Amino acid sequence: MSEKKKIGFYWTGSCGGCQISILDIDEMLLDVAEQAEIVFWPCAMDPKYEDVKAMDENEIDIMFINGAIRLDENKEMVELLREKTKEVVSYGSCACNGGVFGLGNLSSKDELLEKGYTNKSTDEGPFPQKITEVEEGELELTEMLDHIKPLDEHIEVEYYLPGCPPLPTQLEDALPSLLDDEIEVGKHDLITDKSVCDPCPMEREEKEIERLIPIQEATDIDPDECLLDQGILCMGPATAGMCEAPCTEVGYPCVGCNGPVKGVEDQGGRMASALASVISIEGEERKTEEEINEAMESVRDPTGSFYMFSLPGSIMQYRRGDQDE
Amino acid sequence: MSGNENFEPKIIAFLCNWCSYAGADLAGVSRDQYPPNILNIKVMCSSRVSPEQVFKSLKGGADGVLIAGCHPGDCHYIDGNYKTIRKTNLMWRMLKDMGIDPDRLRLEWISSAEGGKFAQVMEEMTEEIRELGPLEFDGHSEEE
Amino acid sequence: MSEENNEENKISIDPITRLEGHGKIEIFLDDQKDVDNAYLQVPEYKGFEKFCEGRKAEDMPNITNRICGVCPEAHHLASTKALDEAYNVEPSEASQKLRELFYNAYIFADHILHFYYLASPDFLVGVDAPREARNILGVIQEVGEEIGNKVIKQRGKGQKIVRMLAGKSVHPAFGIAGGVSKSLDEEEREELIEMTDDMVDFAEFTLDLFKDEVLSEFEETIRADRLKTYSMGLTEDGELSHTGGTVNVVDPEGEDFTSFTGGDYMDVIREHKEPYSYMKFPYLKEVGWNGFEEGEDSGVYRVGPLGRINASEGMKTELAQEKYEEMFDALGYPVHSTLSYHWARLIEVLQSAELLQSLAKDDDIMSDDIRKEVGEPSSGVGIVEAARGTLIHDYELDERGLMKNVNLIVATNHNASVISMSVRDAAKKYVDGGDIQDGMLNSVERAFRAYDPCLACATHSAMGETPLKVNIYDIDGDKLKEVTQGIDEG
Ligand code: SF4
Ligand code: SF4
Ligand code: SF4
Ligand code: FES
Repeated sequence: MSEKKKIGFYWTGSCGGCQISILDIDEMLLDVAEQAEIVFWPCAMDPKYEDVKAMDENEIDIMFINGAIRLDENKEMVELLREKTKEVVSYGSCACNGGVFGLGNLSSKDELLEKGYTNKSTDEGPFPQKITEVEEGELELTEMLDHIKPLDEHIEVEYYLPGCPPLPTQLEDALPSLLDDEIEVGKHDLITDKSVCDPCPMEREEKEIERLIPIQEATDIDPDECLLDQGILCMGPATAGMCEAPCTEVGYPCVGCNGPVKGVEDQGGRMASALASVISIEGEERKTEEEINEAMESVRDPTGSFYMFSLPGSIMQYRRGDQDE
Repeated sequence: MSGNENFEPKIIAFLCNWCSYAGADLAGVSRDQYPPNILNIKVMCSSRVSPEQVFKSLKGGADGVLIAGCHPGDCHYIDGNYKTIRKTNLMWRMLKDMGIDPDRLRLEWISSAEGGKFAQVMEEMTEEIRELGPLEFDGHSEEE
Repeated sequence: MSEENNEENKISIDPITRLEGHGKIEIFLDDQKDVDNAYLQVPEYKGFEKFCEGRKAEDMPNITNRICGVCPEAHHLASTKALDEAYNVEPSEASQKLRELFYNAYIFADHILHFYYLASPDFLVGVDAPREARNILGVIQEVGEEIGNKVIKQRGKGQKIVRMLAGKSVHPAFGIAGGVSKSLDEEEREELIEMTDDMVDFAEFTLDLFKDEVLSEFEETIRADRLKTYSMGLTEDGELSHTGGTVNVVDPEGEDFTSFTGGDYMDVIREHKEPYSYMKFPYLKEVGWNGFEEGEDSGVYRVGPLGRINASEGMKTELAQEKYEEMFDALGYPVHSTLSYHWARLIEVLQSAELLQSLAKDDDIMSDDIRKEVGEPSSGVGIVEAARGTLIHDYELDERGLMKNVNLIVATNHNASVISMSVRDAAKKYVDGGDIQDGMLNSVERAFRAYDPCLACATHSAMGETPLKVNIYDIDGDKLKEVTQGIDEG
């Protein structure tokens, strides 16, 4: 390695958790600071938009971007960073698949605003708007885009490192290879083809279950047996397992925050298939289709559950107007 | 979106090799009239059709999707078509949440002897989807 | 900070136009180049209340976690408590204690992070110090590496406890209506006991440091920036609480004004809105919205450490109680100076550490009795004190346990008005439009930072910590200067 790499971190619409996860690599951050020059990190350093603008094309070697693209300014900023960067890392599930905020794609932008500003505890009055005249001058507000989209729908991305947030171990694994040029420039993901069930310590026998039970009703959970086998919705089978299953480890179902396993395009579709195989009603042969459909009602809110972290990155992406009228 | 008389819906039909595909064949041979804009795809069992394939078909330009398999009890893989019922149930609900009319996805049991039923199902489905109009998958207002 | 001297006395930094994302203060000058007014704008919105509709009730603690990656524990617990009520279930004693363990670990870690990483640079390094030095690295230089390491290690302990119970420290997986998913085993408990002894020591050490290094030097400043408002905070038998009890409100003189639990918040709080910001401005309904004003006739109130400490009659633990008395002895009751937030915050750190210490020794945290039968889904309100203030999750469920209606009033929201006012006042006081210096603007930021505001929460939206931009405009609306603040978390 001849020269220090220039790297940067940036967030768009995010919860801040991804930034915390970067801080959480602790001492390793100091190694990084030694091996690389951090040229842009508005969360921790004085942001210098102008300096970025003045940079040459591809001057930054690696840029980590987390968060979803929700506002017009998010979009403009990532476009600028793309220009100045050799390799962009889509960091965290929001950037990779749209993340939890992506559930906003089940509603229109206006519906989202309407609800927040007509709440039962909220006074009447105008909604937030782009330009407001006040006595002393004019105030300007950024605008929301129609839909949340993953980063790679707006700019090209070289690496994908999902997780909500990625665990420090994931970043620690990825950093040396990124910094040492161990991985060639090109499309890479740091996603595993193993599902969360793989590292999960629970005993899974792929038992058939009659119906799903909401976790609050399942007060007698066997801590060693697979949750899904016990009738509790667990996204493990459809979710990439880079996290080593910290949630099921503490007896809590996986909610799917890493997004789909490598090579799978649609986490929700995959989960629908998995569930259709394990749910089975006793004496099904004698049941009518209606009765089976009825039994499937124990799967509550399939869309929100299966796509909790990946709706904008799924095949359907956002709600359409087909049924509006 | 209102129906359009001149609109010829594109329909993708996933047909189980053991029954419905043969049924479609029979419909062809016996010259049962059914609408022309259908793409038949042979699958080994109705349970092999994945939600991804269905969603992608709709995204790729289909206005409707048919999944057809053996009658309950007759599946060559014993309970494959029960899985299909359950999976289709979930797909309907997911489509609905995504603002796509669930009637665009249809599930039917058609045996190899039921050429007439196949033709009839296709006829009905084409009418229904013509009524619904074209699926504008990316037709929602886009930014920029 | 990059800046260019363009024409004559117009100082302009080419706008970091597209970076503000998360917080913006617009300062307008008058003819005399004095500060005329200042506005805080939060330009971000994600719409949680809408997209939570239709979700499974049990998913709410996981979805609302993601409102904020800095205080996910607060949303997680508020949400879980709302579900307890919605399912009509009282968690077992053991699970309540485990929740408290989880929560106090969070309060400890979060407050430590805020004091050392975000706030202390202004005091320990100095407001006028070069920007590069005003961060945790600068602090470490000032206080020595040994202490620096201690800070990192102790904060880590808080997070470790959260992980023991909830798998992850960012976006924990723990709360279930009527209980929690896990208790501790013998081995984990021993580790816990060891850790918590250290944490109490460290909390005391931090208060001493505050007294010696900050209080001694800045007493005047700390007393100075006052805003006489109502105060709000959770109390249990009058004592300051983060996890449950009654929300108490005291008036600007410190007299009890009102108190409420659960859904009764609707009788006490309303939210005002301004079209220039996505952030709403809650106020006391009975007093009414009278603009950004202090005093008895303005419904504006404060939450967070200072609001809590004013609204309580004392602390839950012994050592913290001593410190509580010390503070009011020094400053009088109630305390209205904005920078006292830091003092109150550190007293809370001590209480949390002491609570952790005693919980660690409680056998209940190893109990298996952590789940209870739930009733039929209905509606429920969950109230906790997030590090930054009162947090309200209000849910209405349908008969299948799906979310029908969601209302969230989050910590920074309650403080929206006082933050705006403090910023405006600090601007008037410190900013001289004729000769704008960095230090002046940092004084404005310092006022802002005292609240430890989390605009992510405030708009149920973006960033946890708060990058901020300050613009200054002259009378013609021309921008004179722009300053940005990242999080100085070097
Ligand atoms: S991926 Fe998760 S942790 Fe990261 S910004 Fe999005 S919600 Fe927060
Ligand atoms: S379904 Fe869930 S609990 Fe079961 S093995 Fe997979 S990850 Fe573990
Ligand atoms: S177990 Fe599931 S929910 Fe938990 S971190 Fe892993 S992917 Fe996310
Ligand atoms: S083989 Fe025909 S549906 Fe299974």
